[in-house]
Amino acid sequence: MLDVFTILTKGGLVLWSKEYVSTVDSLDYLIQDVLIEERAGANSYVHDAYAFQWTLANEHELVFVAAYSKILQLPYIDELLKTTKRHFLSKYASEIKALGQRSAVYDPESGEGGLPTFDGFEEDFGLILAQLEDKQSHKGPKKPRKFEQTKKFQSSLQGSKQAPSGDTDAIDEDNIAKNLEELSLRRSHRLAGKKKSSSAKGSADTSENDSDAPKKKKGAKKEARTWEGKITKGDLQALDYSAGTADPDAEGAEISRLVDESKMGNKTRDGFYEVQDFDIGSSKEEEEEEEEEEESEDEVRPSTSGTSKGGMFSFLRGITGQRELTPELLDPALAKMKEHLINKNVAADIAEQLCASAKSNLTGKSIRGFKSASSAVRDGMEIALRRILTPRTSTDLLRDISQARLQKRPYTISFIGVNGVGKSTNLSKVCFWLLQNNLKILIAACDTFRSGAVEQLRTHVRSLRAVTSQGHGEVDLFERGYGKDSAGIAKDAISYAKANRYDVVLIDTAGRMQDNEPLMRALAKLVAVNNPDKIIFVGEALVGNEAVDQLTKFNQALRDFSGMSQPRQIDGMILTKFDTIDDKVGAALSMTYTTGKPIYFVGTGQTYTDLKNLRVEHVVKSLLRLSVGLATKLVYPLRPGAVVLPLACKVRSWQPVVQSTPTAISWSRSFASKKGKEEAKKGGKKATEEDKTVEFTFNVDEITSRMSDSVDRLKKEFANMQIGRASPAILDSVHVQIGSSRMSLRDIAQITIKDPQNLLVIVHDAEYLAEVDKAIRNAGLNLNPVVDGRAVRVPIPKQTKEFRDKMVKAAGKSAEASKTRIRSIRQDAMKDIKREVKLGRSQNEGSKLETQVQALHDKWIKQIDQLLKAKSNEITSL
Amino acid sequence: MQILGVEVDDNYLTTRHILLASIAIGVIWALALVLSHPSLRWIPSPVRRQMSNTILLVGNSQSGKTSLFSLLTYGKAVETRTSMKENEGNVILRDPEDVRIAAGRVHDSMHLYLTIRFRQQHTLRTSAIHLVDVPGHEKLRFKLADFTPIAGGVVFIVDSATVSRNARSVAEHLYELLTDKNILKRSTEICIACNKVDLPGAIPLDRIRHHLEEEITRLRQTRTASLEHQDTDAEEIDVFLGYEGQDFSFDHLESAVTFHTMSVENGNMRDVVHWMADAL
Ligand SMILES: Nc1nc2c(ncn2[C@@H]2O[C@H](COP(=O)(O)OP(=O)(O)OP(=O)(O)O)[C@@H](O)[C@H]2O)c(=O)[nH]1
Ligand SMILES: [Mg+2]
Repeated sequence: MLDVFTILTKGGLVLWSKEYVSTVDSLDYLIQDVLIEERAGANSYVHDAYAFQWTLANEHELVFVAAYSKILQLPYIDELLKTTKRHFLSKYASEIKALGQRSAVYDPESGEGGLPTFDGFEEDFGLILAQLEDKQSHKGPKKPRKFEQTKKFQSSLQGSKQAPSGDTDAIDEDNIAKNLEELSLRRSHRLAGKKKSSSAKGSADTSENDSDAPKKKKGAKKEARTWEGKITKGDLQALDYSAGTADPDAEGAEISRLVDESKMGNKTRDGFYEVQDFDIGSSKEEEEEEEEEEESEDEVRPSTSGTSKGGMFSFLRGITGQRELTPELLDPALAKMKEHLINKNVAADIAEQLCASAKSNLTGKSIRGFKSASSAVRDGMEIALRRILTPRTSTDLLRDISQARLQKRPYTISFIGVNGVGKSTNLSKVCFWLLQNNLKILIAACDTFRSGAVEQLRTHVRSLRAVTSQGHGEVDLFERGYGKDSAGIAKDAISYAKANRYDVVLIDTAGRMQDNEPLMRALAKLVAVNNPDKIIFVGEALVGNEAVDQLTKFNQALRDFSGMSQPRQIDGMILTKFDTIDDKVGAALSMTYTTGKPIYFVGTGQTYTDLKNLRVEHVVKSLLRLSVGLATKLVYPLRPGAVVLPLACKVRSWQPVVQSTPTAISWSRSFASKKGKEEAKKGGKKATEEDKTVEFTFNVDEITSRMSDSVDRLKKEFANMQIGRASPAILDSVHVQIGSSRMSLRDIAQITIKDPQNLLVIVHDAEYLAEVDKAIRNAGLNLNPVVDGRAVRVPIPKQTKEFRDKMVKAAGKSAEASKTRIRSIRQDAMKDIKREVKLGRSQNEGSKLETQVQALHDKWIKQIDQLLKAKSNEITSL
Repeated sequence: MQILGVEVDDNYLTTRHILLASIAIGVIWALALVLSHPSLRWIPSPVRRQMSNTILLVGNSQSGKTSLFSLLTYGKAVETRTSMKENEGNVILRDPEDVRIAAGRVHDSMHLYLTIRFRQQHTLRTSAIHLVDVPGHEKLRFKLADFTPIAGGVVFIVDSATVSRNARSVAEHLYELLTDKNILKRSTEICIACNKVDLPGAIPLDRIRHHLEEEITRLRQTRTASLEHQDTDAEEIDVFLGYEGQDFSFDHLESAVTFHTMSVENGNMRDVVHWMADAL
């Protein structure tokens, strides 16, 4: 049986509600866990004893929710929601409209402008429900629903939608409508004039006058607000440009040797963060471009629809009025958005879910004349992304620590994750920051598995002590060697810390692959025994789909192997190597979406100060920014003389290692791909203009160009992944400061390969030799040029085996990402073809296109494999 | 296409109208930009504040924002759920009668609603104010920054019955509000409305004040010591609420902060409504 049916506004006002069983405060959970978390793309949700289904009426910002006992199977709920929604919206059209229009002012005397009452709806609802239940009972029993289906947000609806055959459905619909009509007739007789006229007027209203005055008003108001929002953005920008005037604080010489001061705390910004300037500059440009693109799309659409309806009216509506976002309008824009997100390294199924959620939130909404579906999708997605990335709980660790201090106990944080993601390194960075805040810290060496792990921490502790000699912070290492039970060591460390008044215990754990059961069990035990205050997952910012798998399995292990009734879960994440991912920040999104937990920090480089708080706006902006090809590389350069962390575990005695590895893989501009796209677009558009009757826009050339674009990108990435082999592309990013102007090295010099280990830079004007030398040296590329007559010779340093392996891995990752892109282009193409076949393209043609696309897909995938093989060989053979 | 019986070329019309419309929009935008330009900051803030007629309702989830909003905007406190979006409305502020439960409740099919009566002859302000109920859910709080630039006053609602338990999260929300760029810049007046005083667990106003001050003193320390954000801009990091070396007190702020008790449940909200009328 149905337990509760509620109609509420997105603002949280309950308009009408029928409770067959009281309670169900879990409705708030539905709102918080599903609707606010952007999971509305799913269509059912289970909480405690209840199953929920809902439907949104976005044009009026209403939500219809039905709740029933989760053990029941009520296949008619979907229909109930839809029918009720339709009926409610038409019956109370004028009331709902009044509710949405904010200009009205409540007058207590006349009661005008107040919240309308919907008492009369109860009878109608009862009727709808009775009929649907009745219809259901005639159909006979069904298989019990699988509980997991709802739990995993899978659609139990699909089944129910297919179950009734089309015919009976139509009859039932008619029936319901007829009965409702009778009902309202009866009532209007009973209730004399007033009510009848209002409801009749109401239904007439909605169907036609969509672009009525009050609505327009609402629109105008909205605009005013975003405008206000823009002010703040403007202010921000103004400030960005003037930033960097702050005076650098003079610190002790020791620190400046060990710590990259400019990145320290809140001290200075010396234009170091190229990111910001590029960020705003380029995104602006792109937005404009995008806008153009959207407008041109728009122009095509109304004109085609205009011919059918004809005349001035529809045309004017195209400009000033509102159009409703239909699934047909949204789908292409959403498909684009999905691909875009995947390109930004967002895990594929998360991109899918987000787009589904966006669809359910946007369908039915009206957009004003100049706005296109794709910009509506973009705006909707921006809000969704912000919601997801904004943490739900406080991320103020220092505040937590001070609380623990009051309770006279140490605050414990354990760092977990797969191998080689930088757990110990980032633990040390966190430690450094805590030391700056004068805390007493104990590091527990609980990686008793990998040899060298303890020594690595010892080295870190030594260097951390060296850099904090001035403050009151203290750091010690708690170690018990290898091979022992890590849970026990952590336990001892915590009691030791308690006895000796440490403020914080940082627990380093062994890296483990998520599928290694014995190690995962050990981790679950460590957590269960010690119940740390925070369990922080350390993950690489480079991961794509893998991120979801890692997090899910770690959480799963913590749950399954803990043996506790209320097992702990990951509390938050640290994302490492954030400096190497350009604007492909998708992992940040995948991880927060998967866990619902915040990203505490991001690691942005190789010094202790390269730990930052994640800025939500930054990630949102990066995710929505157009193509990578356009964005100029975002590299956080290592400053000359900056000290690199002792990363390798083999370092026995600690010495400042000055830059022994390249700092970042950078992508450079790719204009070619951009042009290709534009041409493809032009081609596509022409086609639609020429034959207006058939609107099949599918174009194999476009697919080819998109696929080749993404392989081009891979090639570029590979080119920059050089190892010991001279390639002029390495110097692409070098800029030379001459006088007051900054010039690209390529413009003032010729770069040639002297031999596999040497590049030769022949400077056109010998006067600039010194500048060029300096520029290459300081480019953060870890190069030591030698001035040699009129030229500068650039020897390419040899690399260690370990580094090569890493490089091969990175190449593999890039190739995998590239394949993912190809696959998703193929998938989308197939979908497009299917859709066009449905719309009337011949089956034959369709399957021909499909074969073509498949062939393209295979070809490019093969080429990627070849590229990867060649690259790996190149890296290892040198 | 035919207009007034004259044959007009479709394309010609389309482009011309689009052109005209875009020019119009462009002009409006330009105006908007000029008015919002930072150089106009020389206008003293009291004057600017006077130009605003917007009051924000801010506070943690379940504190009673939407209930108050509904009562003021529609004269009726309906059942509510967690807000997913802001509510906006225009309200004529009237002096509410201090209704007791029995007097104000009406029965409406199956629900009990509290409705409020107003002293009709006594409007506190002739023109309507723009009331915004900002959702309190953590993930939606970023919306606050969309509204602070236009706020003439902020009512920060606290659940008096749970505040001693939730002091930290309430203080964190309040801290976010107090360090908002626009609130700081414009010294927006703030009323801390201690709601739900009808509940047995409600604690008195001065204890709430004390709790919050204590918490903000702590927060102030940890927040200023936190790591910088990626590409931080200068303005956000230099905020330090109150005086260094002294415990935080609301008296140290540029913005005037007033405390009032309130019970939406009982229709007791006279102080807060009067504050709203005075703040604008
Ligand atoms: N006892 C009592 N309950 C109140 C009072 N004011 C509001 N409530 C109840 O508190 C609950 C939450 O109120 P809302 O107005 O929805 O809370 P909100 O601040 O809008 O919450 P969000 O929308 O989640 O930010 C409702 O169940 C109200 O009935 C009051 O003065 N006394
Ligand atoms: Mg609310």
